Amino acid sequence: MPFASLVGNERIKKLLRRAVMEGRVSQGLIFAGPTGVGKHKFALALAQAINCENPKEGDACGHCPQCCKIAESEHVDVATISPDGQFIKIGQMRGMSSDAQFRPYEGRRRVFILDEAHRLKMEAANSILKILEEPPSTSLIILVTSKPYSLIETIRSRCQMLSFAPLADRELESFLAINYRRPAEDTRLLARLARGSIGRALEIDLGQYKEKRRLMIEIVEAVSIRRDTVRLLNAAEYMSRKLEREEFENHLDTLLVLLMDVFHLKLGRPTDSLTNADIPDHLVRIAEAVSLELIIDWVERIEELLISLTRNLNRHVAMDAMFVSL
Amino acid sequence: MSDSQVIARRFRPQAYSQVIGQETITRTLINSIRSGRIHHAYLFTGARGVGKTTTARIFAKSLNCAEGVTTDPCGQCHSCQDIAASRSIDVLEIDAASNTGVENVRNAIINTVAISPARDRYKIFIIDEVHMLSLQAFNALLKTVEEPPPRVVFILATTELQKVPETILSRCQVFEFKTITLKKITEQLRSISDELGVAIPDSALMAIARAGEGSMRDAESALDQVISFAGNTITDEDVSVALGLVDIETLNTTIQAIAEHDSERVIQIVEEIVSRGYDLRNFCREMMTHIRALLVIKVAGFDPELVQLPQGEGERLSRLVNSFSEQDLVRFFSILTKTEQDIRVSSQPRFQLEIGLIKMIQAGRLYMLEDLIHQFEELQSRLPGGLAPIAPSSKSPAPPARTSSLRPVAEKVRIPPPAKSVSTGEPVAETKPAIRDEAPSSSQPIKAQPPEIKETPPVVYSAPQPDFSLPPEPPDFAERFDSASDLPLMKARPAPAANSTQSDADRIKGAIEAKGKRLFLSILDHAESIQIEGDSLRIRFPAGAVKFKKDVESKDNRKLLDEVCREVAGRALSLVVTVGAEAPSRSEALPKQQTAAVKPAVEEHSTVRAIADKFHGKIEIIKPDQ
Repeated sequence: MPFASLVGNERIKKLLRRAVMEGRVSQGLIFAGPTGVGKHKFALALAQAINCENPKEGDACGHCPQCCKIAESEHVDVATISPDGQFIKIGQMRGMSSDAQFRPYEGRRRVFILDEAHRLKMEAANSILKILEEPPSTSLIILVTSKPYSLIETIRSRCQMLSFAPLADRELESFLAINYRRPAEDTRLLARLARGSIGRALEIDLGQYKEKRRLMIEIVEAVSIRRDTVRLLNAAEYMSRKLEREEFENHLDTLLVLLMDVFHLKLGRPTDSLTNADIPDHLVRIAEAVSLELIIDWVERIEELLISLTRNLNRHVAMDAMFVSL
Repeated sequence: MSDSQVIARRFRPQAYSQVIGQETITRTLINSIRSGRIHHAYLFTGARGVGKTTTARIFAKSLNCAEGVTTDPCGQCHSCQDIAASRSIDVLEIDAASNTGVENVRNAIINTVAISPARDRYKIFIIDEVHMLSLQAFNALLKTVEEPPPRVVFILATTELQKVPETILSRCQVFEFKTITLKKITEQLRSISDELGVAIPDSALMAIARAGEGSMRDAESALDQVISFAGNTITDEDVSVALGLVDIETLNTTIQAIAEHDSERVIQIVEEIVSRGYDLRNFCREMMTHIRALLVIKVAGFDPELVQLPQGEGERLSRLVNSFSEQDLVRFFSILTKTEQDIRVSSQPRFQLEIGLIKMIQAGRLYMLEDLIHQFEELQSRLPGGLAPIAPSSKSPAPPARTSSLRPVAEKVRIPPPAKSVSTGEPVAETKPAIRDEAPSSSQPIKAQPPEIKETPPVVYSAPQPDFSLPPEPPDFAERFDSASDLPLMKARPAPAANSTQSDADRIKGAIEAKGKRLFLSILDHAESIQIEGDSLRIRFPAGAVKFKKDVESKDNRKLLDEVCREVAGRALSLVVTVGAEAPSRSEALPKQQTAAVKPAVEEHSTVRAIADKFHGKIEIIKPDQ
């Protein structure tokens, strides 16, 4: 999978291809960006471009044995290191540091891809400082992470950091349209829900989402338009008693997305720019009934609830309290 | 691939004079070499990328240069070259982070320290990242570091001084490396880019230097990155694109939009930021730096020493600064701090940023709490008598807020323009309960014109009105202070009112609130009417609110109500909870007077008495024959 076959982040493609062409790929790189935008794929593509037998304009051909082996993760010189259990441990890093000292076996450069690099244990992170600062000339270490600021400063200072952007809505939309058959409206909704992450787009089940959204709209309407406390408490009961914690959080997340749309409407954005652009009537009605301050207040409460959930709060009590206070 | 060697390595200083920004340290070292007072253990500490390892190597070269101990190592002899390439056998560079254990220390240092240098004058141990050594390893070193054999020098380097034991510190000369000023970094970057033949404007270099945040290596890595992105001709835009920096232009437009209260523009800016792949938290931090610059300009005027900004920016900011007050700027800080935290934990970071920026727009319309209190007090002083007993409660600390929030109060409360501010801001207890109490009732009735307040006596429950269908509503100003848990006043409330049905609801609610049962209270808030009728307490909920009925009738709440009734009515009352629009009494029971009239006759009736005795019952309701 050469760069040309990857979706999005054209800026980074250009940067990397140019660096490959001019032979100035730095030896320590951090690929930072939200999950599911293809950081790891970019890292593999870079490994291919560096080791490819017939590179053209800084991109890999994708057909030569080197490229194929890397794509199949069978290349001896290209290794992906993932957390062993919870963390990337110092043993793994010591292994990598000593491997990096060897000349490449079949390719031109040894490439080490550290997946989820923010899960480097403190000792492990410190142990690669030296090799990041003065690496052997034939090594390339790529740290892939969604939380670059959890990496220790001394590592960040030794690497070049490339920030990946979430995919633009239309990029994601066309990707989804090409690869998956869906009604255009659904594709669009999905692309926006995924907030620029292919990974997330593939995880979302639209049917389930719409079901959640229906419930959440009912809640918002119960609060803002019908002032139907009973309905509200029933919903709270359903959410807190019937749902697993993860599903529960998903519901609240859906609620946040709805509120964001209403928020945008209040600020005078056109309806077709919203995430849930397929149900403008509901949103407009809600937007007419609530004030901006109210939305902000709700969002704060919901976020508070989400945070207190991490402290194992009784969900039922928390939900009731929140809804009663809305 | 020597070309790919990064700038930070290629331009690593090889002489004291090339070490940027650490003049005090290099001078001290040079003087100690000149006077021949070489200590046997040094500890270099400081932020990342300010020259610790570099200085350690230069110092090693000074000591071991083939031309003799010198302040200006030649860089040509074998010793110097070997040290520069870190392959000298007498200068051992040890990575303490990957050799953390006591075994490593024994093998690499303690066992070899007694062997005299092979070729050079000194045996030098450079222990980098020394903070990662285990405690045992540190302790194993103590004796050796205190009294090493002659001609042994230790140079320890670390970014985290606090992790090094004091026993080690006391045996070393400690040098603290400073972060490097923007100006010096920019100059150094300029000389590097000149040498590389890269054309780049000053403003772009400055942006890169800023990205370095005081670290030379960070700045050099950034320059590397920009060069590999843009080649040999670099523009300002290349820099912000390549580094994913938030350019000053965006920050300025954001501030401008906030100054102009342009919410829509703000949302557009967020969209741009997201689509360009900027880190949102980073944006928050950049905003904070920018607002800090604004604040400094506001307080002290534009002074290039205090605010480091590219050319011309200072003037631009000076113009913007007039749109904000100092309080505004300080408030922006706290909003941004909170937003930054929220972004970190939230699943919808973008939404959080938008809300944060909108809050900043709204912050401009806030009033300072102090001002309000002041206004309130001023108003009070103009009112003779009327409010005197209440005044202390308004100043007493507010009841604990329900949401545990550390934010400044001023941020929470949005106060309408000053004309109304007196009426709405009146219970200065600006915490949630007070505000919540206010919410259900409209704020209109208490548009307190001073004379009216004066006329209203502090005790409110005087005019009995047999209208029960009204939803409970705090009838007056003074009442609001009661509900904000003003206990002394509540106790002082006259008991004689007990027989008047007028404020049954309020008294019961007051008693419940006094017990602190707010959740239950909020359920009762939904009742259409609460009244005491004879020996029963009647609570009526609107149609459909079956859940509330259940809640009220739960065991605990019955008990609570029972207690409350005893307190309020002085006797036990039976609880009747109904749901539905119609008042229940009409269909089930005779009108009151009729019941009273029939009651003695019914009680006398032999069958009725027999039944009542048998079941230990008493007569509650008398219904007419169908």
